[in-house]
Amino acid sequence: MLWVATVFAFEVCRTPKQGYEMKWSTSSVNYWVNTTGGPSGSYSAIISAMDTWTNVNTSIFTFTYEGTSSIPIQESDGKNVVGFLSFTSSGIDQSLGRSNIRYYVSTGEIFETDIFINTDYPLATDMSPKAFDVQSIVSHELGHSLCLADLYSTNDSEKTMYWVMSNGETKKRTLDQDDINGITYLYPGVQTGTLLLPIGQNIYFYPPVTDPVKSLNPAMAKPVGVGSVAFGGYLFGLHVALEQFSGPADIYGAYYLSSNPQVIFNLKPDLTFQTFSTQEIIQALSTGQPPAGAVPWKGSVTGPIDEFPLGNIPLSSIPSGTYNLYLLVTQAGSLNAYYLWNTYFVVP
Amino acid sequence: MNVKKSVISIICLCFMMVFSSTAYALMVGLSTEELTKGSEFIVVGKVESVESMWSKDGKTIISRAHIIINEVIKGEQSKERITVEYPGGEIGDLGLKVSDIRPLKRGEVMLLFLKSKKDQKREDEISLSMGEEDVYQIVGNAQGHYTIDHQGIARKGGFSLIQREDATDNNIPLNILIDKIRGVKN
Repeated sequence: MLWVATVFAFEVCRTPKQGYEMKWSTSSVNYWVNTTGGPSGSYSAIISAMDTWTNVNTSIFTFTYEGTSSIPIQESDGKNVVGFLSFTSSGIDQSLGRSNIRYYVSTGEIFETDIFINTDYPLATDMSPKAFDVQSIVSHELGHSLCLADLYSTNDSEKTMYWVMSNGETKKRTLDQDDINGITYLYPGVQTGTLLLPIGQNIYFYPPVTDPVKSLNPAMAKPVGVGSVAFGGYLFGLHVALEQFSGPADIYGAYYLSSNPQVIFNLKPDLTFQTFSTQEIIQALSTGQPPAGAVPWKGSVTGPIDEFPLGNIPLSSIPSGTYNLYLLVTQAGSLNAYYLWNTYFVVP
Repeated sequence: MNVKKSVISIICLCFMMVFSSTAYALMVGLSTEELTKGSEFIVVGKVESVESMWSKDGKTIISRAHIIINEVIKGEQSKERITVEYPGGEIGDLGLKVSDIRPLKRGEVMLLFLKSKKDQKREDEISLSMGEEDVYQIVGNAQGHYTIDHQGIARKGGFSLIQREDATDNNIPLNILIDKIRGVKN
């Protein structure tokens, strides 16, 4: 049996206290371009960087440009501006670029971003090997304005969001598939249809999220939300959401405690749990047959699913530990093929 | 098939992702020697509290973190508390995230490379009753900010580099980092 663990490299930013994903609520953002202080060709370079992100056809997000302007870039004025600035004279040190991202704390919605490029460094638009490429810098910074974060692994070195840039480097002008996955995750394109039933064994892990994320792409879906405990809150609120399936499916929900991984708790339709040993589950997944007596949380359903099966539970009433949650979607009556999503939450 | 192995891998991934941090800027890499030479004050401490406020001109948000000093590596030994100021923060429903700044968090234990703000005062900054000589800023923005984990490992993040990625110390035991700092000749 082939196990395919899908883990994304792209990272999104979150509000520091509540942990909400930060992103625009609109699918189109207008930028003004202030080329004062930039090298010749800066306007075209900046527009090309915007177009690079806009042209991702799996995302509905578009950058549009209002034209050149002398609008200052450091002010909160409701206008998004890309421009140039001497950081030394502005009291900023060491940065080649900076993005100021303004957002609403209560939702994480971004309402303004300004990007400035440091003119204290040699800048060019003609691929000069001794200067820093403006289009590459802006492509990277625009990724931040979408709210994608830097990537640190050397495995990510070809990506626009990789954390290191050298003079003369221009590869950040072109998006890697993972960059594309990032913008698609945050601003998915208009999709129609159904979630295709699995034809293989697919495992997807993601860190805890407050609310589930529905997607027709199982690799993009985060079907289990855990409520405020995801980011230090005091409630566990199981929230399961899935798109409509292409055919009848069984949905299993289960968890185990890290302190006792030998016992798996399987959620039944009456919202009580039945227990199985890890060995029984391993055997079930090996043979494609559910353990004797096992029942799915939802049997032979076509969705869509959007439920809070357990309501909100105060953490004070839950034993301490790390709870590993699993949601398994299979073709009805079989475990031969499945989507298995895994997340977790921690009760201090 | 090895389900246990997969589960362990997933758990490891959970662990890695919990302890990873996000970052949002391009910066020139600074070595420990450069950070040390650029600092007036280097401390190990714990964030007691963080407050955000509007700048004097009302155009931007800044934050001040109040630090309880555990150990002074460089600088005046008598200080027990200091305040560190940086741009960004949250006031009411408005938040400002500044790309190359990693906000300090209450309860965080960290090593900070600091310089006084007394010579850095600008029009957009606030004026509190506190003397500016007591307010510091982090050298190299996020680069001068190491978080110390419970195993005594100093990690930094919150920025990206232009060149010189090999020059920076990261994921380094705190005692070794301190030895390197103390070994820098000014």
